[in-house]
Amino acid sequence: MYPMKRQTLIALSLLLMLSLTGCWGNKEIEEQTILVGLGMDVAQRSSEEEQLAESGSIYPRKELVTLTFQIIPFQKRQVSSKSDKSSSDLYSNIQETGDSIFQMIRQMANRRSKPMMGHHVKVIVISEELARKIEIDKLLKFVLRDNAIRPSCIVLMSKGKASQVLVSNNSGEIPSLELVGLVENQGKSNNILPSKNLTKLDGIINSGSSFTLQNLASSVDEVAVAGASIIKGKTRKLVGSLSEWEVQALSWIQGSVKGGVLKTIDQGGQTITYEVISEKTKIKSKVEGDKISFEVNVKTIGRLIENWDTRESSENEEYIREVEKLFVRQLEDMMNDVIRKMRDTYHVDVGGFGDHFRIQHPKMWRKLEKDWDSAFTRSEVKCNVNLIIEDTGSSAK
Amino acid sequence: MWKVIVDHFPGWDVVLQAVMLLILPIIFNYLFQWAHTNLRRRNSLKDSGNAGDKSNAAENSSPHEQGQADGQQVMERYEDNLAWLKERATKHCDIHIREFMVGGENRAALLYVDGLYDKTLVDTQVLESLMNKGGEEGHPDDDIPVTKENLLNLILPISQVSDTHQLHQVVEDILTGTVALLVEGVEEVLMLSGSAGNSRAIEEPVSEGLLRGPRTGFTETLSENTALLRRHGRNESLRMTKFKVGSRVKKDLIVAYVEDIANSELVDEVIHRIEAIDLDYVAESGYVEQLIEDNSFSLFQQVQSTERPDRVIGALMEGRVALLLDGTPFVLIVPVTFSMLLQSPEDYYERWIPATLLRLLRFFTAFLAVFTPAIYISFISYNQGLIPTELVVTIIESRQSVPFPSIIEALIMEISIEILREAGIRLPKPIGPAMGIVGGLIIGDAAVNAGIISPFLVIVVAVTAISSFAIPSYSTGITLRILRFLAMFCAAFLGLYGTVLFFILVCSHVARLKSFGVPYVSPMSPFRWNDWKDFIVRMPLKVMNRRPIMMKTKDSSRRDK
Repeated sequence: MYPMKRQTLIALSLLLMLSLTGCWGNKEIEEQTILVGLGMDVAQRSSEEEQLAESGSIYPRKELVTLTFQIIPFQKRQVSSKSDKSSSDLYSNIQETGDSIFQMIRQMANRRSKPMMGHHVKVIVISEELARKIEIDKLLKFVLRDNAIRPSCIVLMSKGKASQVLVSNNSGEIPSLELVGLVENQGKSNNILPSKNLTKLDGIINSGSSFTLQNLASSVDEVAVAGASIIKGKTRKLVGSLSEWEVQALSWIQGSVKGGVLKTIDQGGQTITYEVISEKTKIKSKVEGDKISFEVNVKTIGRLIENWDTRESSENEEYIREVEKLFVRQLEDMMNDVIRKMRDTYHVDVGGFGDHFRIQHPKMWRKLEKDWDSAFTRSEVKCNVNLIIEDTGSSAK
Repeated sequence: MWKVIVDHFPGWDVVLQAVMLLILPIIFNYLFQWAHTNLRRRNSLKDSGNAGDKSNAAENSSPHEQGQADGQQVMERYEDNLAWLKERATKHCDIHIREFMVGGENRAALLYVDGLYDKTLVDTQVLESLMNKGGEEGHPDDDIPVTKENLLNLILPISQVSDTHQLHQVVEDILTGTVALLVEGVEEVLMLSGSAGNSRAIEEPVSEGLLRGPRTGFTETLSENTALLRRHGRNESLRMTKFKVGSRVKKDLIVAYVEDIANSELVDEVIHRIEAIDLDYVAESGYVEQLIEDNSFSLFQQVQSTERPDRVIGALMEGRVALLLDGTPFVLIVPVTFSMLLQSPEDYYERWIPATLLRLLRFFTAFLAVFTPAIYISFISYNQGLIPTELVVTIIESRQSVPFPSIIEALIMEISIEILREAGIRLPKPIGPAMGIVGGLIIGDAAVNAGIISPFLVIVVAVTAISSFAIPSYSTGITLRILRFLAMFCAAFLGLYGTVLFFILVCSHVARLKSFGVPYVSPMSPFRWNDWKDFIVRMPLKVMNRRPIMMKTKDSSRRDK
């Protein structure tokens, strides 16, 4: 029976090996909370933090940033300590003030039984005030390096406090997810910029070019898109913002219009509205000696969707040509306005002119690369619009 | 300089890991080799020992017996023969001896076993003709002398008649259902085959139902099964060779193959393995399957068993070999590839696009049946980042009351489903469906309400259970069920990473496996593009004009020209 014994011994030792292994890194889903949104504000302690600090929970830190963590699902345990009346059942916002983003996130382990999980961070909101003070790459260093936070996470700016944007009065809504949905409405409205996720932002920040971030405004009940913030590539700080109107013009320049509205008034002061069906932008750059000039050619097809002037028949070919001209003028004005603002007010290029220049004149670009923003400031930009009203919708009258 | 070099040396822990990585596989390899050779040695020891033993036994034991019984040859005198047979028959209470007179002159005796002989044949053809001696009723033809030739040529209207000189052979044959006729004055014993036994009608196979296709299934009678194969089409080259298996209780086993298609090396190998079978009793074709398979340690079956004649014929036409055993409706097909287990004869009867989609579906269900619970466990316990955010919220809410980790939760449900399934086979037919409802619905629902498991798991378990039934072969279903549990443990150890590792492990095992020399996962590996026409997709029949290359057939073309 000797081999028999040996066999059982081998089998037993194999079993033992199996039982000795643990479940490495096993963390059940219900034992974690999910971080879905991150807000960054200028340091200001929340009331809970004040109370905690008073009762002795202090650690050495410089107070630079206040982070708002939006976590789901909302734990019943936290109800009593929540002062935020606007929180609904699904989520809760917790704030922590400090100087290291990572330390602040880990600090949450001291305050909550269930650890936070970073995989589902959908949105990071930075307040304009903070972006003016602190370089954006410093703020985003941790989220860019962290393995858990996905590169698909979207970065947004807020006019007011970021913590105000991350609330919702409607129960059953998770504000972070709502924000993502809002930004994705780009196809319906051209005053929303194409969203910038961490991957894109990483590249842009490292290339040192200036860029825009979608801005948000919040009222008591609602959050809405509100123009864009301009961050200068050299300083990585916020230099100013564009209005919704200017964002719209910017998206025409960038060729990112996927639909939406162009509105103007006719000679009689009546409203006329153009619905964009397709749009294409070509930017040509020219170099003459030291002088750089750009030519922006916009070609768009759409339909006349509204004209409040009821006397005019939309079937009238002459009227349509007339209206087309009005829209063209309107569009050109818009674009020239925003270009002037970029060039003269903020001295930055956020319209993507640099990219076109780099592709069309790579040699010249290499010389100007270091200080492209000022080179752009010295350039000439001309806008041409070719707008065609294809039809007037289902109704002829 | 020295420091730079030293910096690049890995630490001891890395060295240890590397050594383990090297040694562990080698150890496992040796372990399995040792186990294999042990098995084989045990088999071959018996084999060689017995080969000598048995051949001797076959030759020696009979003379031995003869010496003892002193009457193995048919003796001259009728009385002696009858006495000898009667003496032997007393041991068997079911052997009956009917004595009568042939045409009123010669004494004769019929020996048969109760229940095995064909009563109508004996009554109408044998007794009547013999008593009348072939003449018209009432006019016994006295002119015909009773000789063997006359009996065969003039008197007995029976097709299957043989004769023997061996008395001991007589007894053996009677026990299988033939009727022995002993006639005074004839030197041989005539064996009249006409065993009726009790055979079942040809029915649609229960384990392999089809919507389209022949509704025939094999039965327990070997002759009927071979007839079913023959009836599938006239084909001269369909060879059937008979073997006897079982040393104490002998059974017929037929090896069937198409002579001008099947690779002769393959046929030789099959015959060789069958001849090596040494067991006192081979109860069912499952015995044969286990005794001739290549790797007894593998979870995967290397021999396919089927009840459908059309499937067997299809396999024979691809150059495979079928093994039919008496007493079972399950016919074995060798060699087998993994894809065959997921294919159904219906694939060829339906048009190629639906057939292809169904095949894809079956491959997908096989995947589901193995990996759904494992993926559930890894998602819940390890890789929560991969679940859509909205779903995470619902899952967390639904799992809030569940006290167990996901592996325990999944095990509870999976094991209870397995119990239900096992019990379902044994449940009496009228109760079966009711118990299914009680088990499946009520237990599932109650377990969710009681907070033992989460509702998501019920979906997972249900999908898994249904998927494992979508696989055409029952045995494959069992294999996949075992694999599922292994996958669950792997997922519980290492999450999705563990599941992937397990998948690779299974793949590497399957890639090494061979069934009668044919790689188990061909045409995937070794890659044979031509065989892919009938693998995951089923190309139109007009395109499939070659037999599988992996079978190395004698005639590779399915076309005349």
